This record gives sequence, C-alpha cells and structure tokens, in this order.
Amino acid sequence: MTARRAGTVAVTLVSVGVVLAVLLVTWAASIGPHDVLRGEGWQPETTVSPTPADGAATAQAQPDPDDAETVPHNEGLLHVLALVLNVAAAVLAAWLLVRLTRWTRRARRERRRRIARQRALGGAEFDVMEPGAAVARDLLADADAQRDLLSGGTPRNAVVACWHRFEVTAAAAGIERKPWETSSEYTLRILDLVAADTAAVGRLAGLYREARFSEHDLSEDDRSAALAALDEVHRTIRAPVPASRVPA
Amino acid sequence: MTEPAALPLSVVEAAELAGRVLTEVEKAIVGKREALMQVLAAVLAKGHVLLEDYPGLGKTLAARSFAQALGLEFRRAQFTPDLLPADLTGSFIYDQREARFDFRPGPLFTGLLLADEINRTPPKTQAALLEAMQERQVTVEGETFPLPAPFHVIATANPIEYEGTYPLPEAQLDRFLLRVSFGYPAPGEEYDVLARRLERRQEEVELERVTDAAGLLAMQAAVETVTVDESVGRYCVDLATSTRTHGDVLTGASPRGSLGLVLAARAFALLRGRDYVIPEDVKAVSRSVLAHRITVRPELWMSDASGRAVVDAVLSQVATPATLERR
Repeated sequence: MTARRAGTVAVTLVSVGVVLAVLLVTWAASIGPHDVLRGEGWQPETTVSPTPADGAATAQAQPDPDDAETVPHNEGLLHVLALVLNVAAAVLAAWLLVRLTRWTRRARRERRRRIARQRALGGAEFDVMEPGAAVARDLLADADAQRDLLSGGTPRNAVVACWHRFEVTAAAAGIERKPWETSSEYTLRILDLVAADTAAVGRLAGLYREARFSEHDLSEDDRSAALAALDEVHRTIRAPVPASRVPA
Repeated sequence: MTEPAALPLSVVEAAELAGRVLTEVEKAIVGKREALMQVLAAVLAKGHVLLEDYPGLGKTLAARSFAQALGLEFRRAQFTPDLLPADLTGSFIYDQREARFDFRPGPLFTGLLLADEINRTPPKTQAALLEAMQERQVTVEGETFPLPAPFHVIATANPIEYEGTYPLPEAQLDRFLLRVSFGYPAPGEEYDVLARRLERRQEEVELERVTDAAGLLAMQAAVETVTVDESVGRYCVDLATSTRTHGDVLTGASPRGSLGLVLAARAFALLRGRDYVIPEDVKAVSRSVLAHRITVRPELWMSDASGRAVVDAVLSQVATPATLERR
C-alpha cells in the first residue's frame, strides 16, 4: 500500500467512524437516558394507529401513555436516519462513479497504446514473443546504417551516434525508453532482449559512456574496438527470447 | 597539525589501491561489498558516514577494519548519556610541576573516530562532535585547535531503540555525507562468518595495513580529478530538488544534498576505475546520500512512507541525461 493510499484509507475510516458516532449520539439523545440505560429498545408496534376498530380491540391495543409520548421522537429519528443514509449512499455512488470513470479512461488509454504498438510492428497480431523478434529484426535490418555511423566522423561522435541509433531503432520496434532510465540501462535492456553477446554489448556500452560523459578524446583504436563489438553484437543477435525474459 | 605529504596518484592507481583496501576489509565483513564500497566512497570524498543498522551486524567491526586497512589512527568514543563535550574535544589540565594549564586532546584528535551509538548522548555533545566534523577544528576556552588530516567520523546508531536515546535532528543528519545500512547477511554468508571465526581461533580480526594517511590523502586528491559532465551535474540537482516537491515530504534534501550526491558519485566512479561520472554512479549512491536528508510528513507515520521510498520514487521519475549531448 502506498503512503498516499494509506492516508486516504485512514481518512475514510475516520470519517466513517465520525458518522457512526454522530448517529449513535443522535439516537441516544432522541430516546432519552431512561431508555438508553434500561429500555427495551425501539418497538415499531408502538406506532400503530391510536383509533381502533372496536371496543375490545381498544382495550387490548391501548398504548401505554409513556410509549405514546415516544412516537414523535422515533419518527424524528427515522427521518434523521433516512436522511443520513441517503446522503451516505449518494456519496458512495459518486465515489464509485468517479473510480469507474478513471478506470475506464485508463483502460481506453492502454488499449490505444496497444493498438499503436501493433501498428508500429506492421499491423501484425501482437503477442508476448513479438517485441524481441521485432527489435532483433529491425536491429539487423539497420546494421549497415549503424556501421556507417560508426565509421564516419570523429571516433567520439561516431560512437555516440551509433549508440543513439540503437535507441531509435528499438523505439520504432515498440520498446520505448522510460524517462528515468539511463541510456545505457535502456539500450542494455534492448540488447538483452535480443540475446546479444553480453561481453560485446559491455564493450560497446563502455565506449559509449566514455564518449558521452568523459573529457577523453577517443582514438581510432577505440573506433576499431567499437566496430568489432558492433559486428559481434549483430552476429549474436538471435530470434526472440522466452516470454519470461520480456521485461514489463 | 601538519598534513602527511600526499604522493600524486592517477585514477587507475587510486582505484587499484582502493580495491585492495576493500578486499582487506572484506576479510572481516563478509559479503557486504556494495555497502563497504559506499563507506569507502564517503571517506574518499572527504565525508563522514552514519552506519544505521540493527545490533550485531558488524558496524563497529567495519569502522575498525577500515581504520586498520587505511592505516589511520583509530579512536573509539562510546556515546553515553553522561558524555560531555569536553570528553570529546579535550580540555586544559593544570600541570603542577610547570604551574600552567596544558591542553590534553580528546578522542576527536585522530584519523578515524568511531562514534559508537551516537544517538545515546544528549544534543549538546552531539553538537560538539558535528561541529568538529564540519569545521575540522575544535575550540576550547577560546583557543582553536585544528584536527589532523585526514579526519573522518564513522558514527553508528541503532534504529529500533527509542527509550533513552536522542535522535539526531535533520540539520545534524545533513552533516553526514552518507547513511549506510548493511542489513542481515544471507544464510551462506552468515555461515561464512562462523567458519572464519572458528578457523581464526580468536575473536580479534587482524587486517593488513594497505596504505597510510598519506596514501588516503593521495586517493582523495585523485578523486578531485574525476570529471562530471554538466548533464550529470544537472541530473543530481534535479534529483535533489524533486525530493522537495514530493507529496510525502515535509522537508526535502538541501543543496548540500545535491553537492553530496556529486561528491559521492565522483568517489564511486573512482572505485569503479573511471575518471568520469556516469548517471549510474549517481543512482548507485543516491539512496545513501539523500534518504537521511528527507523529512517525511508526520501524518504518514503509520504508513510505509520513508526517505528511502521517496528517493526510490524520485529515481523512477526524474529524467536522466539524454543520449546525445545537448549543444
């Protein structure tokens, strides 16, 4: 349970408790201290009509004078109870309606995202095996472009551009980068999804991090190492991995 | 007090030396390399560490082991309710032979001070220690005495006892660069502790001295050469500022929090053998650096809201540096 949800539950419980306490006090005040401590409780039969049909019935059904006095109190209590229950029911219904509306909106949003992802994958029927296969297919299809990027320009810019290309390709295949993910976390997740060689991915990732975040000048040797790692990654990219390895 | 001469070390050399220190300490503390790396990162970043954990998890042993492996002079101060500031700082004692007052230094005048159970002493004594930690000097009867360099405090606290304790206020917690917890060992690691003790045939653990005060200063100087890309620095600031606007938070991390994040991440990068910081370094130290600087709203005391949960939430919200450098 999150902190905010726990707070909401606590406030709800306190509100319900207060409402129940108010009801109890209202009831106790309406029947007086005598009936609260020693009375037999509320008896609905005391509210029968005071004008009986015949004399014999009159003798039997004649209400006690004390009971006759409690009738208006009980009617008032019933009105209060009905009002409170109606208000509580209305609040509950409104709350349920709000929750239902939110849930419906969220479900629609999810459905739209799913459809968009299917379209990005070429309208194919979507299943849990698809993301890895799609990413593997797209990464291999894009291999020449990645190699071209890595071969041109300064080694530093080439490595960063090649790494960025991974992200763009994977995003097009439906695996979007989460904003809080670091670029290397994200790309490593993608490359893990397509079962690429971990050591090669590690070498390439290390060179990317050095190119992106350090002040070093990368050399042609570094470019060659990156090219070798990239070729190894392409060579080891395989068909989809089991569904259990697909990250949420 | 004069500082030992620091030999210049490259980042690679410093990382190799720090690795040997960690390996040596691991002979005493089993299976806690990540937590030990955090403690050493705080020391390399010239900070102080608060070890907060349950009894019997090796807090005191860790402090003692680091002192041995780093070759620092080690003093232990047991923080009791009757401990006075002068018991830490030292005081002037009358010398009858010379007919004058001489300053007798307290346990603060050391390389590594273990402040054991810091939350058992009243705020007055806590404040004296924390002032020394910040200023790296003590003033007694108007006379100021600088503390030796390097000077580091590893304080321990027990998070489950409240009776007879004086929890550190937020402003004082802020002085610790990192708050680290070891946690319980895995069953295999716990058996390893038993086996090593039986094999040793004695209680004490003797560790080899890997370096000395001058070596530690050299490693700290190497940390200063580690570079931080602007995007990574801004990421640290974003993390710290996001703790201030989180819904569960009464008071978030101060600018000292974002500064601590950068400094600790730099030392962590050195421990991993790099002379530049990457966002993963920041993520690795952010819980230890930020969690104790966050005050959660008091009305959430019944829930599972905590500084650590807030940091986790912030880490899963704040955008990391972009793949391409912004020009």
